[in-house]
Amino acid sequence: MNQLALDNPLAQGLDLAFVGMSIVFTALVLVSVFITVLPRILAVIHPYIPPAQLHTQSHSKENDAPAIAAAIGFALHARRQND
Amino acid sequence: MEILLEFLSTTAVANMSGGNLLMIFIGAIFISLAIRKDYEPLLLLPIGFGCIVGNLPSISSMAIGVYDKGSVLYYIYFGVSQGVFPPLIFLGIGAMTDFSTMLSSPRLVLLGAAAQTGIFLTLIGALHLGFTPAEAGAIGIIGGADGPTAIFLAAKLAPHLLGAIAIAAYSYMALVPVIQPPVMKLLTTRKERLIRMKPPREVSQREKIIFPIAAFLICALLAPGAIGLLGMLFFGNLLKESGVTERLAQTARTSMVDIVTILLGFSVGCSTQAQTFLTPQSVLIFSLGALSFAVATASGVLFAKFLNLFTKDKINPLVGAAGVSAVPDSARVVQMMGQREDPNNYLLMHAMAPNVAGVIGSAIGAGVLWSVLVG
Repeated sequence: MNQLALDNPLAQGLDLAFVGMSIVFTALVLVSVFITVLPRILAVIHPYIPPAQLHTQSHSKENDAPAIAAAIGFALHARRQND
Repeated sequence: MEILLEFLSTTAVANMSGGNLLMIFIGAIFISLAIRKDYEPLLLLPIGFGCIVGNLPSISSMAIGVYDKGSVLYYIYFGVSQGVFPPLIFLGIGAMTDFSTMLSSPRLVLLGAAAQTGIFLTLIGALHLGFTPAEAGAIGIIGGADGPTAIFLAAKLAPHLLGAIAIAAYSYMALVPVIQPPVMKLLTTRKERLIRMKPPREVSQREKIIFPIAAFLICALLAPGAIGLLGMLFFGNLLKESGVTERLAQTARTSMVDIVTILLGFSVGCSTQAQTFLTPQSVLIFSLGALSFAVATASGVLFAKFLNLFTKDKINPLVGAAGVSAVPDSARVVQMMGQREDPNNYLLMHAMAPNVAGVIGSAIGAGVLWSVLVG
């Protein structure tokens, strides 16, 4: 739907510029407002979903992997030694 | 002897035109700028070498160039012509971007919006010069100072101008340290350039995780044309911030983005064959591109001054210039300009906020133009 291909593209270009800038501004104003209120929202939900719970779980999987591998390796090594 | 003569008639020497020589010279200049001046070397070097490769003429029966169906270069260029590479670059950018400064200074996001004025004023200028609406939209996006976005939109709206638009966008991104400072200096007083801003607050990990999801929804709901670019940008950022996909984030911001950058830069360079590139339209596109960069810079700076009329904590107006995207070069220019007046004033972190907001803003602008102008 090439709307500007119709007539007087210059005038419609002005309209498009206005609409385009309005949408860019609206989106970024909304992002800005969201960023502003986000810490407050998080403060409200903090007692119900503590942030540490989210991260210790997710981090532990990745961080523990080398430790678990080392423990398994040590156990296998110890077993072979005993054999 | 006949075979030798026939072979000689197929060589690049026999088919070389003055335009090809000029483009090879321009390619050499790009390589020289990348190596000697360190201007966007990751892009200018592949583009420069691509210019040289793309301007070695071959006989029409051989499929060699990017426009010859079936050639290797054609398939590499497919990623550009179909808009595949830009979203992948955005994935990498997302995986390397830290939105913390933006999250800690929400008002600076607006500077990223103001700088997008360059896109739309250039669109009007292009229409005035006789470009079709779709071409004008593709040219206007150069003002977003975002190479992948410019390529993405040009591929969708005006594929025949893609080479010129891509080269203009990347050339001006490389020339940010040259184009922006005079505009910034002209529009600010010394007193304004000396303004020190409050240090940004610390942002929690949880905010960083929620932000890409929420910001994507906000932007994509308003401008669905930007889903491809912003979806990948915020997805990359979520990979980075989630803490559970570090391996994927690492790949996205290193190997993957490097591979795509090589293919994109090289094939864009190859697309600048003199026969399609050296046209009066290209000259106009380059002029409009320079203008749009200057307008975008001025808009960001002036909007920062406008915000200062209403806020207690003053914004250093230089920071507004970083709203033109061109991450992180325009933020570096802000830092450099600020330190020229006061060596102890560190504006880089503050400038990163409008800088990344500018990336989002230009992608939204591209989405709007694509939605309205697609034929």
